[in-house]
Amino acid sequence: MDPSMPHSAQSFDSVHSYGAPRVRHMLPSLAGTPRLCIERALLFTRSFARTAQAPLPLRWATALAEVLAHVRIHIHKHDLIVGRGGAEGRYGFFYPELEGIYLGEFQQKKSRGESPYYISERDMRAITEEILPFWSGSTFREKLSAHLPQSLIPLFYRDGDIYKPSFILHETATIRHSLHWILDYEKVLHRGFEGIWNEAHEKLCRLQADGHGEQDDRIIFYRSAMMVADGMRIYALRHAHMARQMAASEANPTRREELLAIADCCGHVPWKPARSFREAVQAQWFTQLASRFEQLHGGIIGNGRVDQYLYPYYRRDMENGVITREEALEILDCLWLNIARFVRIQPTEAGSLIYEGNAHYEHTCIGGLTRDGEDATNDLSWLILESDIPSLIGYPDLHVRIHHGTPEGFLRRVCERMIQGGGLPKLLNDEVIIPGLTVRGVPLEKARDYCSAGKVINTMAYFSGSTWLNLAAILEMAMYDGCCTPGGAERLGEHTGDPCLFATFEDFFQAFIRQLHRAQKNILMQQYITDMLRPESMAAPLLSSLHDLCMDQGMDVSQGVLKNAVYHGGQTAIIGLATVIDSLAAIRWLVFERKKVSMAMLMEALRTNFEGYASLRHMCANAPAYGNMDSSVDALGQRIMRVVVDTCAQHCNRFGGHPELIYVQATAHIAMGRLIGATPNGRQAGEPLSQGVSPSPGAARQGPTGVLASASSLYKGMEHAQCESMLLLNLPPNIFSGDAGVRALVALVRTWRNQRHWGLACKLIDRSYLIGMQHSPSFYGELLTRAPGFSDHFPELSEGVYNDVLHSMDAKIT
Amino acid sequence: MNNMNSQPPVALISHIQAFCLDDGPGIRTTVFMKGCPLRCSWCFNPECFSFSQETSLRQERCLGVDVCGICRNVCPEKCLYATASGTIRIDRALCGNCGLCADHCPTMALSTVGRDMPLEEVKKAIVRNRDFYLHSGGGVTLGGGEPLARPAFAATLAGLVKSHGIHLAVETCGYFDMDDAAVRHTLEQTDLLHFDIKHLDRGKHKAFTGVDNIRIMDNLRVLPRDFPDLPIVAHCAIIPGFNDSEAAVRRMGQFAKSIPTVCDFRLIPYSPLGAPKYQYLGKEFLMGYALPPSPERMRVLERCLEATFRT
Repeated sequence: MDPSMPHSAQSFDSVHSYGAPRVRHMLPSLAGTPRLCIERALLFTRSFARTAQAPLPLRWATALAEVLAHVRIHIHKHDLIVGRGGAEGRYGFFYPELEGIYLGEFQQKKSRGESPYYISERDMRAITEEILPFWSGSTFREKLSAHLPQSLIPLFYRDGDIYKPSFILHETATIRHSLHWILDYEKVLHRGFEGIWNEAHEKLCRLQADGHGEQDDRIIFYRSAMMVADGMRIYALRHAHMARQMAASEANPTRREELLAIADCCGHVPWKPARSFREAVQAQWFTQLASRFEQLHGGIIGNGRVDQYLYPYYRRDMENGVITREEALEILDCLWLNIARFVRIQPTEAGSLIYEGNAHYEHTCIGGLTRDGEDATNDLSWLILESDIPSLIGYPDLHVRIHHGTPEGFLRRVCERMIQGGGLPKLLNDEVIIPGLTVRGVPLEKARDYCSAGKVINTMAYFSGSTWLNLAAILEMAMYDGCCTPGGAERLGEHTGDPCLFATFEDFFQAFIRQLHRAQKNILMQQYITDMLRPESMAAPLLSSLHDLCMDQGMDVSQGVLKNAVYHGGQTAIIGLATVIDSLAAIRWLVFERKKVSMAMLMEALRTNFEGYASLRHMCANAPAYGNMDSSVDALGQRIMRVVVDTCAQHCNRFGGHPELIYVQATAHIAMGRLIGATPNGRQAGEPLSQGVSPSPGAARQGPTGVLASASSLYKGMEHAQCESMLLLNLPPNIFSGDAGVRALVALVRTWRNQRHWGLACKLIDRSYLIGMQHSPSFYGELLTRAPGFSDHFPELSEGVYNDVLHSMDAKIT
Repeated sequence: MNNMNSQPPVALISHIQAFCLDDGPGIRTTVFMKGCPLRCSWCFNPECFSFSQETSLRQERCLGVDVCGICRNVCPEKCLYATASGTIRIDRALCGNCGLCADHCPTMALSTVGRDMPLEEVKKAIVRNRDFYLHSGGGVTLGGGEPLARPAFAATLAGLVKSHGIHLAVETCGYFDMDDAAVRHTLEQTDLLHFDIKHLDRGKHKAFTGVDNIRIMDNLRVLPRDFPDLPIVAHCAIIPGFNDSEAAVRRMGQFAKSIPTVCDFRLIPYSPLGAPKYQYLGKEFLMGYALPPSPERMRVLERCLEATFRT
C-alpha cells in the first residue's frame, strides 16, 4: 500500500456522498448575474481625494485601510468561513484607477439586459458623478495610451478608441494591476498580522533612531505595512462583532453555536497566529479577500500550496480529535465557494471578451516536492482531491504537481478524479518547472516550493501584465504585405512584398518572421513604457508586507528594483500558434510542394472566406497539420519558437529580467479569432484560433500520442526556455472509462511528465462537442474508436459510433 | 534466418494506429497489415481482406461534381460516375485501384487503402511512441489482416521491434504455415500471442470464415510444444447466430484449457463498428442486421468460460 495513502482511504465513498447540506444550500446562490459592487471603488476614491499630497504607497495603504474599516460586511445564514465583498449572490469589484472611464459610456450604450453584470441605478450615479470625475485623465489606461508612440496605437486600439481593442497586440497591463501572484499565507497563519505589524514597527523605529525622517521611502513603506496590518485586524473584529450580535438573536441553537464560533475565530485571526485548521482557513480567506480590495491580480490572487501551509493545522486538529475529515472538507468547500462567489467583472468590452463568462483562475496546487526534495503529498492533499466542488463549479483552479516520486496511489487517484471531474484537476510538471526556475537563478530549495504557474513567493518579482500577441494577425501581415484584417486598410506591419511573387516557401516564411520580429519589438516597447509608469501609478502595501524582500528592504513591489529578487521579464502570450503553424504548412504543401493551387488563388479564396472554394477549403483543412507527430510540420513550430525565444533572450527589462513567453488559458483565442479573416489551414473567418500550444480543433488525427509528441517537439533545443504553457488535451470519454481507462490515463500522465511538458489540462469531450462533430465530421477528428483489434482507419466513422458514445455518456450521467 | 535475402521484404500496411488500449497490455501502437486468408462475415477490418491496394469512397464527404469533380478528370479508367445528387460513385468492375483519384480528392472522400511502407517509415512510427510503451507497460502489436500471411515482413518487423527493446504482441487468426522459417522466427520474437478461436465446428467455421479450422486448431496444439515460453491469449468474438451458444463457448473453453500456454481467454462481443467500411470499399456486409449480444448474454457466456476454461 502506498505510504502516503491515509488510513481512511476506503471511507472516501462516504465522504464523497455526504454532500454537506451547507454546501448544497450555498451552491444555488452562485447562479444568476453577478453584481458589480462599487463600495471598494467609492471608499478608495474618497480616500485618494483626501490624500493627494501623500506618497503613493501610503495613499494606497490609507485607502485600503479605509475600505477594510468601512466596507459593508455580510454574514449569511450558511456561512462558516466569513467575509464577503457583496450581498447575496456573486459579486465583483470595480477598480476605477485601471480603465474605469469606460464604464460611463458603456452603461449608457448597453441596455441592462445585455450587460454581463448588474449594477443599481444609485451605484451607477455614484460612479458617473463621484468616482469617474476623480479618475478622469489619470487612469492607468489613459496614462499608458498617452505615452505610447503614435505608431503603436493602432496595433493595440481600434479607430483611435483606447477602449476598443484591435486584438493584434493586446496589453493586459491596464485591465489589472498585476500579474497573477500568490501571497505568503504561511506568514499570516504563523505570525499573524500582529507579527507583521511588529516587524514593520521595529524596522521603522530603527530607521528613526538612525535619524531618518518621515520622507524616507522605507519609513513610508513600513508605515503603510502597519496601516494595512491594522486594517486587517479591524476588518476581522467587525465580523466578530457582527457574529456575536447575530448569535444573540439567533433562535436555532446549532446556528447560534456556529455564530459564536465564528465570533471567536474572527476575534483571533488574522491578527494573531492561527490555532486551528478552521482559523487557518479563515485567516487565509480574509487575507486574499483584502488582496482583492487592494488590487486585481492576474487571473485573481492565488491560493498557493494549500496542502502544505494548512497541513500542520489540519494534522494537529486531527490528532487532537477536534475535527473530522468531513468537517475539514466542509471548511475547504466553504473556502472554494467564497472564491467562486467573487467574480472578475471586466468593465470593458475587451475584458469581457478575453475573460468570457467572467472567468477567473485562482491558482491552487497540491502535491509536488518539498523544499528538501521529498514528496510533499500528505493526507490533506488526498482530502482536497476528494472535494467535488472544484470540478463542479471550476473554482478554485486546482492543479496537482507531478514529479518522478509522486506516489503511485496518489497519481492513480488523481487520474480517477480527472475522469470523474471532466478532466479536472490540471497537472503541473515539477520536472520542468523547477529546473526552469533554477536556470533563472532561483535557489533549488525555493524553486521546489514554487506555487502554481511557477511563482516563487519571497524570491521573485515583476508584476506588469502580459501582452498578448495575435499570431494569426502576424501571418496575415505576411500575406497582405503588412496589412491584416483587424487593422483594416492601414499597413501596420512591415512592407514584405506580394507573396504571389515569392519563389519559394522560405521567402514566405522569412516575410512572416520579419513581421513577427517587428511585433515583438513593438511589444517590448509597450512593456518598457508600462514598467516606467508603474511606480507613479501602483502600490501594493498588503502584497509587499507579505513579501520578505520588500519587508527587508522597506520598499513596495511596484516602486523600484528589489535587490536579490529574481525578476521576470515582460510576458508575451502567443495566441493562435497552431493556426499559424498549420497555415504555413498548408501554404508550403499546396502552393510550393504539391503546386495544387497558386498563391493568388489561395489568397482569393481567403478573401472570399472560401465562398465558391469548397474543395480548396477541404484541401487546406486536410493538409499536414501540427499535432500529428509530423516532424516537417512540427519543425515550423520549432522555428517560430526559436525566433521568439531568441528575441526574448536578446532583451532585458529595467529590472534585469528577460522577456518571457506564456500561453494563456483564457478565452482570448475566441475573441482574437473573431477578427481574423479566413486562414490557409481551412479555418473560416471569425472562427476561434487554436488555443495555447494545442493543435487546431480537429487537426490532431492521431490521438493524444500525436498531440503530446508534437507539443514536446516545440521546445527541442530550447528546454531552458520552457514557459508557462498548459497543454490542452481532449479525451474521448468512451476510451477513458473503467479501470483500464484509469490505467491508460496514468500512463499518459507519466509520459507527459517524462516528455517534459509544462502543464496538462485534460477535457473529457462532452455531449455538445460530439454533436458538433457529427454535423461537421471533416473538421473534427479527435474522437478515437478503440476496440480489440479494430483499426480506425477511417477515423470519423459513422453516425452509429457517435450515437453509441452519446448513449454511453447519457447512461453515465443518469 | 536462412531465407532472408538482401532485398528488404515488403507488405502492404493499411494503417499504423497509435494509442491503442485493447491490443495487449498498456498503451500500444498497432501495425495493421493488409491481407487475410479468412473472410469472416463479421470482420470489422474488411479493408484488410485483400492483399492489394484498394480505393475507398466515403460518399458523405464528397462535395459533388458540381463543386469539385477533380477525380473524374484524373481517372485513367473513366470508372467514376456521378449519381443524381452529384456525388461520385466507383464502377468497381473497371477500377484498377491506381489511386490517382484519391491523390487529388480534396476532402479525402476517396482514399487509397494500403501502402508499401518502407521499413524505415514503420520503424519511425513505432519508435516515436516509445515513451508511451515505457510508462504504460505497452508496446507494439502486429495485427491486420493476418500478419503471419506475410511472414518475411512480419519477421523483419518483429526483429526491428525487439531490437529496440519494445514489447511485441501478434494478433493472428491462426491460419498460418507453422513450418515456414519466417513464421517461426516471428513467433520466437513475440512476447504475447493473441490467437483467435472462432468455432470448433468445422462446417460452421468454413461457412462463416471461408476456411476450415483444422489448420488453426493444429497450429494452436503445436504452439506449446514448439514455443513453450510464448504466452497465448485466446480471443473469441461472440457473433450472434454463429458462436453465441453456451455449448459453443463451452467447447472452445475446454479446448483452450487443454493448451497449456493459453493463459487467458477473452470473449469480445460482436461490434458493428466496421459496417460503414464495407460500404466505403464497395463490399457487401452480411451481418447487417445483427445486434451485438446483450451484456446479460455476455455474462451467461462468461460463466460458460468460467466453468470450462477457468477451472
